[in-house]
Formats: sequence, C-alpha cells, structure tokens
Amino acid sequence: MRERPRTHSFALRLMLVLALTAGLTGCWSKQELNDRTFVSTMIVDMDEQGKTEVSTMFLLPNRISVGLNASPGSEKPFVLLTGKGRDITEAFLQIQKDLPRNVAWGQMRTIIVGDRYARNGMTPLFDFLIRATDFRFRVYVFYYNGEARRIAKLTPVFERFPAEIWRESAHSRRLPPVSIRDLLYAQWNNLGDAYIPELNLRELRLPTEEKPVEWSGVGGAAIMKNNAVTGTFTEDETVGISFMESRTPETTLTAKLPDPEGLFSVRLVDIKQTTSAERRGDRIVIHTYIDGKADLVSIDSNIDLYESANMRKIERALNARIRDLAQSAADKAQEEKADVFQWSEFVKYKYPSLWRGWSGMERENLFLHLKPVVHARIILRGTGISHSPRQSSKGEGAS
Amino acid sequence: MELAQWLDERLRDRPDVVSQRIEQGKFVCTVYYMLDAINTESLQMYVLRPLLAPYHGSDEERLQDILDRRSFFPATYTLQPKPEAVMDGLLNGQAVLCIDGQAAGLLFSFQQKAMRSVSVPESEKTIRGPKESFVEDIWTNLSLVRQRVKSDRLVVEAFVIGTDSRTDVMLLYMQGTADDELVKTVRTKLQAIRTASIPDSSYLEESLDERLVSPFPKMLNTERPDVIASSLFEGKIALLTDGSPSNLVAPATLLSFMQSSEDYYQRYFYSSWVRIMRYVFFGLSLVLPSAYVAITTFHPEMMPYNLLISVASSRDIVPFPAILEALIMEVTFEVMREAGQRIPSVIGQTISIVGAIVIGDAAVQAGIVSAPMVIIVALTGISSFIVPHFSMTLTVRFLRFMLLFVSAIFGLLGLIVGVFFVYIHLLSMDSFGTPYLSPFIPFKADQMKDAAGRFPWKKRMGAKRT
Repeated sequence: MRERPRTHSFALRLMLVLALTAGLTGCWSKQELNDRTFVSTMIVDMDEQGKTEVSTMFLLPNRISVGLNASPGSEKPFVLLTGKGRDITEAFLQIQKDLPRNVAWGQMRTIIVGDRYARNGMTPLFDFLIRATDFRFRVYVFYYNGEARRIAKLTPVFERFPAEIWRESAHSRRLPPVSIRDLLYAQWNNLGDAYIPELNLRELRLPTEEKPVEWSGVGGAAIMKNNAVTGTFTEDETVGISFMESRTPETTLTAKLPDPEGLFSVRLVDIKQTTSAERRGDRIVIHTYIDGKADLVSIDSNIDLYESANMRKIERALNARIRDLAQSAADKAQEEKADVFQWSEFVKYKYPSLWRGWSGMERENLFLHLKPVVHARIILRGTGISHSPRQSSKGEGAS
Repeated sequence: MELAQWLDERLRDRPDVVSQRIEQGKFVCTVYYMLDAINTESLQMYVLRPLLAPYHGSDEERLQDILDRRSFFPATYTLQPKPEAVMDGLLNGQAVLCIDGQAAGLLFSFQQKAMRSVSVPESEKTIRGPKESFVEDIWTNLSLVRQRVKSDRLVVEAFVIGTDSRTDVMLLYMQGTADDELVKTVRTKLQAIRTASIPDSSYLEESLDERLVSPFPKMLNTERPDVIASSLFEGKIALLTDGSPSNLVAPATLLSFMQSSEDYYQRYFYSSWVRIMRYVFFGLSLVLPSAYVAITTFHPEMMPYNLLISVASSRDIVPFPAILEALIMEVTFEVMREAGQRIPSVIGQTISIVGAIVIGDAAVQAGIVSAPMVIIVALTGISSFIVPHFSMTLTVRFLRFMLLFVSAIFGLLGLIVGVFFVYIHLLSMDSFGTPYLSPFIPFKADQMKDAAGRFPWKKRMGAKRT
C-alpha cells in the first residue's frame, strides 16, 4: 500500500487538531447526575430596600416516582429557594452556599420577573444572562404583577412541575412567547423595548378538587420600554399582539355582526403576518398585513349563509374586528412610545439615512414620524355546513 | 527393500493399520488400509475377490494382467512407485496393495469419511431462499457451489496447506470476471503459508491478513453456498477449506458485512428498508452506551427536560457512577451471551429466565442500576445482532467498550474523537486491494444500486453486466 504513510500522517494531523479542540470546550467537568441539581425556573424580585431577590426552583428527582406503578407522592417534587443580595450573582451565591449539590442551569426554561424589579429596570438581569453561558436562548421570560415569588405557590393540576405549566402555556402560543434571546436582541440591537407575557395567579374552586387551587396561566402582557416595564396591555390589546406578531396558531375568535346584529365565531387558520415600512417624506408608515383563512364555527343570526353577499358581510365584520384588535395594540405601543414590535429595525435598515438623521433622539423621532397601519385580509372560506360549503372568495380587506 | 517390508517397518506399532497377507501359490501380496477409513465392502468386492478367485494362467501372466492391462480389478487405482507417496495415500485413507517382488504399490480410493449431511444454516438463517449450508467435507462443499455455478468459467485451484494437517484448500473464481491481480495475490499468499496445520478457515483468514492490528474482519466467512456463488458472480474469489463449514470470500468491504442473503430474496422495498435499519442500528450499537454516559455525566443540558426528569429520578438511588453502571451492565450482558453459547440447550431456558430477572428486574428494583441503563444496554445488545455476519458483531462489541471508556473520560468530545479514530482506521483499510468503505468512499455510482438499499433486479442487471 503506497498510500498508507500519507493517510497515516493525515490521520495524525487530524487527531492533533481534534485533540487541541478539546482544550476549547467549556463543558469539561465530569459530574454524575446524582451530584447535580437542575434549575427549572428562576424568579427575580426586588425587596423594599432595593435588594435583589433571586429564587430558583429546583427539581427534586428523589421525590419523583416514574413508571407505570408510580404514585404521585404527597411531597412536592420541586423546591423554591430564595437568596438576597446586591445583585443577581450575590443573591444566587446565597442559595448555592447551602446546597449539597452543584447547580446546573442548562435545563432552565422560564424566568419570571416580579413587578418591582421589572419597573426598576432589567438591565442587570440581561447583563447576567448574556455573560452566563450555561443557559439556552430559548428560556421564556414572564412578568408577574406583584411579588413574583408568590407564584410558586400554585398547585400544578395538569402538569407535574410549575415550570411545565408556564412552558406549555408559552408553547401553546396563545400569546407569542418571549425568550431571553428576543429580549437580548431588543436590548443590544434596538431600543430595548418589547412586550413580556404576564403570568397571573388566581384562586379557583374546582368541584373536582378538594382544596381551592392556585391556578396560574398567561394573562396579559407588559410593555417593556428601555429595559423597564412601564405599563401593561389591556385584554383586547393582548389579543391584538398575537395578530401583530409572527405565526399565530389555530385560534377562534368571536366578533359581532353589525346588521342584522348577532354574534359569530370563527376558527382562524394559517394566519400570517407581513410587515413592511413605507416612507412618505419624513414620515414612515408601517404596514402590517394579516392574511389567513377562517371557518365559521357558530353564528347567532338568521341570515342566509348561501348568499355570498352575506358571507362577505361576515368576512368584512371579521376583518374589521381583527384589524381593530391589532390596531389597538399598535396604537398602545405608539402611545407609550415603546418599540414593542421592533419597528425601529425597519427604519434602521430600510431608510438608514433617515435613521442616522434621528441620531441621539431616535425614540422621540420614531414615534413622532411613525404611523402603524394594520390590514386584515382574512378569507372566510366555509359556512361550516358540510353539504354546501362555500369554496372560496377573495378576502375583502378592511384597512 | 521391498515396499511391503518398508511399510511394515514404519507401521509396526500402529493399531489402526490393517495389513492383510494374501498367498495363492507363489503369488503373494499384502493389502494395507486404515481401520474404518475405507469402505471394506468395496475392498472385498473389487480387490480381495478378484485376487482370491481361481486364476487360469501362470503367476507371471497374472502379474502382467494386474500391472499393465488394468482389467484385473473392476475398480480404478493408481500405480505409485514412490514409497513415500504410497504412505501418504495410506494415511489419506486409501487402500494399498503391495505385490511381493514389485517396487510399486497400487492405491485404491475406497475412502469412507465420517460426514455430516447438508443441513440448514445456523448463523445465517433466512425465511426465503435456499436453506442448504456447507458441511466439513470440501468435496461436498465444492459440489454445493457447482450446483449453483454451472459455468465452464468457474476455475478451481487446489492447494494442500499444513505440513502436518495436509489440509485441502480450494481457490474458486470466475475466469474473466474475477480480477487477475486479485487471483494472483491470493494464489501467491496461499503458496507462501508455512504452518503445521489449518484446523479451520479462520486460520487461513488470519494467515492471509497483512494487517492484523484491526478489529475489522478482512474476509467474509459464510456457511451459505448461495453467498459464495453470488460472490463469484460479482468477481470475488472464494476459498474452501477442508474440515470447515464456514468458507471465505474476498475481498470483503464494510458493505458486504451489512448485506444478508435475505435481502436478495425478499422484495426490494423491504430489503432496502431493512438494510438502512441495519446501518442505523449498527451505528447505534456502537455509540449508544457511550453517548448515554457522556450526556448524563458531562452534558445533561442536552437532554430534553422531561427525559431528564425520568433519567434523574431513576438514577437518584443508584450508588455507582454512570460509567461503572454501564460497565456492570455491559459486562454482565457479555458474560450472559458468552455463557449462553455453552449452556446446554436443555437448561438454557431456565438460565436465561434467571438472567433476565436478575438483570432486568432485580437489579433495578434493588437500585443497583437504573432502568434507563437497562434499556440502553438491552437495545445495544439486540441491535448488535442486526448485523448479519457474526464476525462484524464481535468487532462492534469490542469497539463499543473502547468508545465507552473514552466518553467516560472526555465526554461527547471523546466519543466524537473515538468515532473519528474508527472512521480514519476504516478509511485506511483495504481488503485485498479494495477500499474497505467502497462503494461509498471512494464513491462508485455504478455500485450504488446494491449499497445502501437494493434496487430491483431489472435495474441492477444492466449495471452488473457491463
């Protein structure tokens, strides 16, 4: 084999290169699962003296029984520990000090920020997140209107762990979730504005449960302006956010029919948004187009659905409703001068000269010159009566 | 010295040699044969009876008749003047007739061997397709191959290897199809083998291997005549070894160890699917325990949250580190597998139930090992048997342990480097001049129709015949 020496020397060189890369790895500590403890949620609060309170929710594998014959034990399979300090690291060190195991952050799924901390400015939190490398970027961030630590009291009914509940609520995308990646992007690239889904906690009395249940879910959304929470969206505006933000999952919407009056509900599918910016002199119009399809689910009116004119009427009412919802969210953002939907990016990249001209006063100029316009173009494709479906029609937009 | 005397001297104390002296008047001869090595009925019928029958002529005429005209015995025989060759024939099971006053001996082939009949293959079973397997006798094996290759282009070259065992080895190839260089290489290598004995084809395989520092087999061994036949058609060479039911095919690539004869007898959809599965599980059985150990001890953040909960909770009471747990399970599994081969089949079932309960259930219940580890080891153990050729299964078993060690020390990076080592080793390997990873590396488009999957015959034939 004449080729062999060459192959060997290549192999040796490759080995050397691979061996050298070993020195570059970060995750180089061998540790058994039994010696680690996993953080599932981090809760950040601020006490009245302005100290940072970090609470971490840990999984307790010893209290979890898995398998077919597993019985849910009487003890909770998670624990919340709190530490206090001048900053996040100091607060966290207080927790680690007393722990028999090493903390692993890799499995953290949610960060919940309490109201006082959020309003005080979240820059220290973002700074901590960008420096620590053990997180995934897809850690969802939530806001809690009050002392966030309280939310750990909830009773998980559907899931085993509270973190699962919040994560699944984020996955269901009733409100598009916000991850640390989005917030860090907004802070480093744009004006540091965003919306943060809000978690709520309410006591429910369920007939099937013996005790009252502390129920938690995604409620509204908070407005983050320059890394601090300044206000919240109303319920309708929160629905509007989901129409303004990228892909919305299948959802249902109830709207009012003007004439003859009546309520109708539709199932919305394939909702897509496209946003574009248009310059008119020194003004910028941000167009958001909401496209999608809808099926009629219920209607409380006796209009003839076989009439295409009537279907169009419903379609128009539906589009008007969606436009109103989305527009209200957009208007709220403008009113608050918060770049929740990252509009500044459109100006910055599409009209850089204009953006440069605003230098130093970007936020003021942006909201002075900006006008968000929402166009809803949903097609109502079916009456919901299987025998004579309405095939298709061109959606009559409402702007 | 007369031949009979010469033989008598050498065979004096051997209880297994029969010498029978026949005197008829002045005509004296001796018959030698190995006890139970010849068919005595034939001996009586074709040699003794004519000798003892009344002869109407002189002794000289009778001798002339025997030596020249060859019509005296109604059986074929050879006239051997060399005493050493006569001895060889005798030891080989031939009957020897020495006539007093004659230097040459007559050799009759009345051999009778203890022989197993052709049965069903045991390690390469198929549902559909031929069910014959090779036996120990080389001539039976050759006829099994000949039944499938009725071409005059089939060349059979005979060799005798082993100074003591004098084992017959046959080199088979198709003239015109097989590469001349390959045939020449194998022939030269066979002639160069200097050894006392060849008890099995595996000795031959090792003797022909130039590079012994490799866990990968260089020749395919098969007990199926149809595999040998199709390999011959593909231009490969086959080696039949007397006394061995598993015969060799060269060259062998990684691909050939992934091909099962069943692939060619079932519909190609299924065959292709199964072959892809084989590749996947081949890789899986190589890296699964190592990846599990690496991920749980070095990179737990790679595990999905819910999987982590299950794994962490079942590992929580296990007192050993993951690597030790994996080793305990793997070694136990190896021991059970190794012992299983030797356990008499009557009690085999009992033992396997005990083993399954001890390993599968009791160990987990007692918290000695975790349930996920049992699943990993069981899956790995089963998947290593998806490789149709046992010699490759052994390779995977061995490499698995090596990879387990590196990933326990260096994590996933160690595993990746380990797999790279294996890959580079495979790249540098060749079997009788054919790169071990061909037709994938170097890529040969015309051979891809029977590589990762199997194309229908109609499509393949066109490619093959060129």
